[in-house]
Amino acid sequence: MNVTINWKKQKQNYLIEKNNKENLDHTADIQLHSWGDTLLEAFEQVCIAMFGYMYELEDVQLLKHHTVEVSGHDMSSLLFNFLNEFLGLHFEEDYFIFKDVEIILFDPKGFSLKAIGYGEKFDRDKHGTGTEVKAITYSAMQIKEEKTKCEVWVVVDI
Amino acid sequence: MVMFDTVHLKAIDKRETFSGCICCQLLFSLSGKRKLNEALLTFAHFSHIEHSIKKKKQRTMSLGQNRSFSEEARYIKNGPKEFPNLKIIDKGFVPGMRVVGKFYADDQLEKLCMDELQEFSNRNQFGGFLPAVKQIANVAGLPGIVKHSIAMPDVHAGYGFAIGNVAAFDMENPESVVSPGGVGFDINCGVRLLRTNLDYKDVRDIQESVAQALFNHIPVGVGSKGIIPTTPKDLHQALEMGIDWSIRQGYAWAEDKEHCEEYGRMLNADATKVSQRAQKRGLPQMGTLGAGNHYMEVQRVEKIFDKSAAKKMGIDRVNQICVMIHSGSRGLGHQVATDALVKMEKAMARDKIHTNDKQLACARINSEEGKEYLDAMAAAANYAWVNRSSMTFLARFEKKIKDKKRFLCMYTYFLIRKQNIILQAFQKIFKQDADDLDMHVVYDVSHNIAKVEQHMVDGKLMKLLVHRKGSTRAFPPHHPLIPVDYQVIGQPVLIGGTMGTSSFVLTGTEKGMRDTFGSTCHGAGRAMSRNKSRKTLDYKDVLNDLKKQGISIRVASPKLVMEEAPESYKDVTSVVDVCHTAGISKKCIQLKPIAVIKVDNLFIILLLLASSSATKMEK
Amino acid sequence: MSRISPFRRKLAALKYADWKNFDISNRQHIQALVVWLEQTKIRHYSVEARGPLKKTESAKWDECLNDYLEELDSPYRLKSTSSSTNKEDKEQMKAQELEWTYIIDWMLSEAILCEYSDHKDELNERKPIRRKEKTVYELENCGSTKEMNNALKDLCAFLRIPMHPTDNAVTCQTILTFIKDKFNPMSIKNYEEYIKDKVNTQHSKTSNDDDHWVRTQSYKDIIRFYPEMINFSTGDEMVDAATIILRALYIVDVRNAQNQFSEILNFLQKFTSDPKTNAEKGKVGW
Repeated sequence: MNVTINWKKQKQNYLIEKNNKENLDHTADIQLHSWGDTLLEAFEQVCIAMFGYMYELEDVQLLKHHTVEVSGHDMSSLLFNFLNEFLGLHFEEDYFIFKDVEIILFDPKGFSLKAIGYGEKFDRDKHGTGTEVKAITYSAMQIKEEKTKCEVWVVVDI
Repeated sequence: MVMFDTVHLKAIDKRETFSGCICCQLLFSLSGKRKLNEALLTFAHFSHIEHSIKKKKQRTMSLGQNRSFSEEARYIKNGPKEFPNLKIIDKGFVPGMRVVGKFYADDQLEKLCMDELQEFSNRNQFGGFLPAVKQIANVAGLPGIVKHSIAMPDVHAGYGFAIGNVAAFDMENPESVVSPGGVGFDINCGVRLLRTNLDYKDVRDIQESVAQALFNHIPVGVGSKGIIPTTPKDLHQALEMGIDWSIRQGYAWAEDKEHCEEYGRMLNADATKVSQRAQKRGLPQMGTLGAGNHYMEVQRVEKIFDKSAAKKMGIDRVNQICVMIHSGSRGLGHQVATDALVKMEKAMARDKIHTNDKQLACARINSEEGKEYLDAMAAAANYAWVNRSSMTFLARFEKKIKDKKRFLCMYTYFLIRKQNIILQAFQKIFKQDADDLDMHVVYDVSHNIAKVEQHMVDGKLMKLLVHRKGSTRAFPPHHPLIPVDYQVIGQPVLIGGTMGTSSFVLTGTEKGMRDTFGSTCHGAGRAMSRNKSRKTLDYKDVLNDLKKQGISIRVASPKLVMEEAPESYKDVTSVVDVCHTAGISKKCIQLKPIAVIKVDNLFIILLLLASSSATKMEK
Repeated sequence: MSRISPFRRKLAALKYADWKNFDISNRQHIQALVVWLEQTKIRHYSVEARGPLKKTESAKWDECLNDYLEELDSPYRLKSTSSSTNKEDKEQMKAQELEWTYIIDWMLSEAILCEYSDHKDELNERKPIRRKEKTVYELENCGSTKEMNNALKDLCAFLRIPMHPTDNAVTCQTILTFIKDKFNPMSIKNYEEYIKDKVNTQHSKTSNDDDHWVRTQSYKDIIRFYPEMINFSTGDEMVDAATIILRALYIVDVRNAQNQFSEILNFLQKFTSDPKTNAEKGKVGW
């Protein structure tokens, strides 16, 4: 993909502009809530929110990237697989922190997407940490799609 | 033709679908007799649509938007008089309940559950959570469930199953299901108790310095790695052999095996069913404690309720020192659960299994996915036993790794090394080995697991798949599956407390065997969400409270104090008392922590509990 | 041959003279036993009718036995022919031996049943052996007198263990094991001091103590003192007491088995054990 060109600078700016996410209450776990103009944006944001809960993202530089392709049989399974893939990649690639995620292909009817995640590997001396997210759950997962605003709720297990 | 009409009418009677009937009549008149088949098919199609519309309506009902709190509360009743503290959730609370739901709670604990329900009822459509009582009821709707879906007093909302929920499925019924949600993400999360022959007064003088040393030397982060070197081949063997692997490699004593649930090894484990990603996560984490509510504590015996039972466990006096390890299968178990969840979601559509909650993914026990999950779960369970054994090994600090250079290296380790340092300190000061310290495993329980067991249900012996999520097995005396040493007293049940609160040792009872499939509570259980704790509690208050109790505390960040503060949890004492009065288990020993080692990814807390009460007693 | 005959206990119970040497693969032994059982215990035929069965040399003996078994309503029959045909054939030998095992076992059970019904009343009236009636044997090593016996009795009372009714050597062994198992090692080491402190006071105490270990005479006491050992009731106290005893024995058995397993594992660990820790791995981050 050609998107990699000059992405470092772009991404830094992008991230400052958007902060459409928050953490909500859940008795044992944590619920991530994100929103955006499009569903795509909400998806991206909820993924970043997940990593934001695990690490202090300010210190993370955008040095490397990974591409993932996921599909599902409905919207919530797509969201689940999307987050699960990034979390799995995080553990598989020696704790690679994804500071930013960009969805480059999105097929809402075929329920598949392709995304690129940017960031760097975890370094104890360099990065502050939060709480480890162990798994994504379907519990109380909600996707609200409206013309002007899309919202996503995901509970993650910590 | 007359005959066709009767068929037709019967169909109408059965379905009670008028529009379907009208369509059908129309089609009849239009198409004539020859196209009868087609017409019936169309009829079926129409009624199917209506059916699905109805179902959709029911689904929206299940989320509770159409019922007010008072309407909901009517479904929850007190149990019969001979069952104190038992609450019953009637059928109809959520659609499709096959059996009733039950939970144990006293007034205080019931209020917590009802508050949760009320909050849920008042919320609007989006951003809601299912409260624990709803989850218990949802589980009651799973195919093949036997007798009841029952929850322990420490129940709180989880994903799919509530944490503290026990459900059993009939193995003979081909419809029966296994659900990863009923086991939880941290497969075979459990508690192990080691006893020592040290006395509190032996430790009291050094605890301050030990604590300080620990605090100075513990850095921590996500991606903590264990110090037990493990190759992929080792891991493969460990997954299949469980504690036998630890014994073979010399990390565990032969005697440890008999004091573990399932003797530390599930025989149906199949390492090839554990995905590569899961194995990759598990490889570096062997012998690590893990984050969240996992901890290691040095405890002293505070109270002995049942002297003869305690003696059987090798605990014979107040102020005896014990070590408690609460840990699980780490990332490996999480990945196994996630993998199964993804696969089962697909299988559910294929086998047409309907559940009220998507997180309640499940598969028939006999299906490909079901078997695969059970085998992989067993492997993850074995991993957890190896993990706890590895930590026990480090706690015992065998002679082989006792050379000086390593001692210095180890001194700066994090995680498991923490306990190691404590015990090194013990050993240095007392010049004793683990053998002399009599550091035997009292018992090792798992509170997140599904197991095939035999139970008497309504006078019939049945083979059941019992899911225990946040619930501990508590078999009664004379049960063949409990160790010989505990045959007379019943299985020891280890209940881990939370930061600064007591832990308990209970024993299993006959009544528990009858009423709860031989299960009891597992710990305190959260009462407040992490965020809520952070918002509502002031860390200064928390620290002051602890100080008043004679607990001095060293904290890296106030955030964790509040998240894990005693106030955020249900009161473990009242949880245990409810189990005791309900008769599903019996109080035996109460333990109080002296030092707590708790790791969250960034923060380590070390509590130092200079217990004033003990000092007073000495005087 | 060191194989233990599975019939030993039954034979011994029936007081068969040669019970120690009985061999199921020996035809003469079997024939002798069958004849003996019929003559002394089962007594199905009249004395005259026993003739054919007694003719053990006769070739028709097998048939005769089958008739006999049929009349007794036994579910087993002898199927294979007499052993003289194929002695080399091992498998056939085995099959034949198994056949005999079933028949003999069944016959023994039948004989025991007969024996029991003959002496029913006598057997049921039997009382537990009373301690006072026991005879005192001389101990080999300690040289023994009444004094010694009394001392042992005191010691047993003190330790709260029952005394073997006849054999003082067994009692001594029990005491030794008990001390090894239960005593605080410290008190064994410093026994002199310990004795100084305790013995005098303890001695006077024991005589007054209502010591159930020693005085457990009737089954009712067993139920009273060990209620935790039984979680149901059969309605018959004597059966309950027996259950408790059986359970206790079972626990001891399993404990011994467990110890043996652990010993084996410990032994094997010498060869397999190789615990490693790697300091480098403890490093966090990259």
